[in-house]
Amino acid sequence: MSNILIYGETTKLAKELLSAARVIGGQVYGVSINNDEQAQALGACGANMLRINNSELFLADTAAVACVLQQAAENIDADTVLLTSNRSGKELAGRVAQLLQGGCLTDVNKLNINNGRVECTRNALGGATVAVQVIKTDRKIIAISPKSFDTAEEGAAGTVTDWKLELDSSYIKVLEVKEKAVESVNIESVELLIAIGQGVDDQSQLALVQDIAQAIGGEVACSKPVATDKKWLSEERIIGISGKICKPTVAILLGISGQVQFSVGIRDAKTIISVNNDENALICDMSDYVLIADLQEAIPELKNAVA
Amino acid sequence: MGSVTEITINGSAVQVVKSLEDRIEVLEVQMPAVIVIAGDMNEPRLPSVTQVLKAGKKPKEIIELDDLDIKIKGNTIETLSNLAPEMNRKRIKVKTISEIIEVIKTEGLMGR
Repeated sequence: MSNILIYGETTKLAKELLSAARVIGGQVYGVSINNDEQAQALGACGANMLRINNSELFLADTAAVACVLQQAAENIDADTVLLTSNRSGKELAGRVAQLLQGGCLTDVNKLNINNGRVECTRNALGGATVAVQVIKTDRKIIAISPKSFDTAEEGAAGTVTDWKLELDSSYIKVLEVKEKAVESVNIESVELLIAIGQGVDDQSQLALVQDIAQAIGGEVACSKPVATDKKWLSEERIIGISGKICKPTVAILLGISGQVQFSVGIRDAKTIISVNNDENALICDMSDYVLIADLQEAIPELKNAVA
Repeated sequence: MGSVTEITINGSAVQVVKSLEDRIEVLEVQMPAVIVIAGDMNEPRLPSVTQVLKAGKKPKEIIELDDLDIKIKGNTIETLSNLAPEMNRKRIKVKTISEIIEVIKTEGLMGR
């Protein structure tokens, strides 16, 4: 019987980890930090929650959170610690692995139990390959990509126990935490995406693309440079390894060459349509339908066709 | 510290700005500190050809792994497979925009 410790920053992420833990099987313990709502919600889904309330413990202090998780893992004798593979979760994973002297894998999106071993599937080499790996140490730290598992449902009740612990004074001082001003768009959950890449070089085309998206009920997305270099769109709309992993029914890709950093975020789409001026572009091999055309002409034509 | 986009040295401490998915964190850490910067923090300067050639002539000191007192622990990870993902797409070449519209219609995503 294995003991699994889960910790997610938000209730939703923690519930995904609970589902992942159920794939491994065993007793699931969770830690909540200054978040009573999360302790209750996870408890209601069957986890045994260690609830920590400590006004001197800040989530932004990953060193302190890692110490908490180390103590929790030792306290319940966890053989597996599941964390979220987002930016702070990956940092936490490395720290916890070091403290527990365990092996660590991040970006894991699937778990498979084979002869008692936990096989982790993850994107490797910047998304160019999919690797299946196992951690050989007794204690295993696995960071799971968000949305790889469904959120756990309420069911057999677990427990919520208050847990007090001594913390050393931290060498990290949290000066400020501010929310990013983000658009309320979630390109991961839409059925139709229209993505633009570097091949769309005239910003006046962007308005047309937005019109097309609105006319056919889709959302506009982009490759990374369109948001980070050109700043035409917000970073919320980036598809790819440093953006969102999307699974739309239809993806229309305009002026996108198909570098792996991008394509890892769209390769699970059901149907991919690409419009490009280069018939040798990588994206042509990754598409179901390819139109080789000048985008300066094709975008207005597409707009007129759907308007 | 990971995902750092700004670093300011402040006496014996360093102030960092971390850019996470949904928030910005500003932290002060006592040095020594290990800082992992976000990939797009800095735009590297492109060296000129003469600089590249000059750099090649600079003296190099080669340190072998054995010269360093580093103990490398056994591998903690076993890789069972590492393969390019299967890409099984139709790769149909179309000639007109109207053919694209037909595809979107077929998927039931037009006129919703």
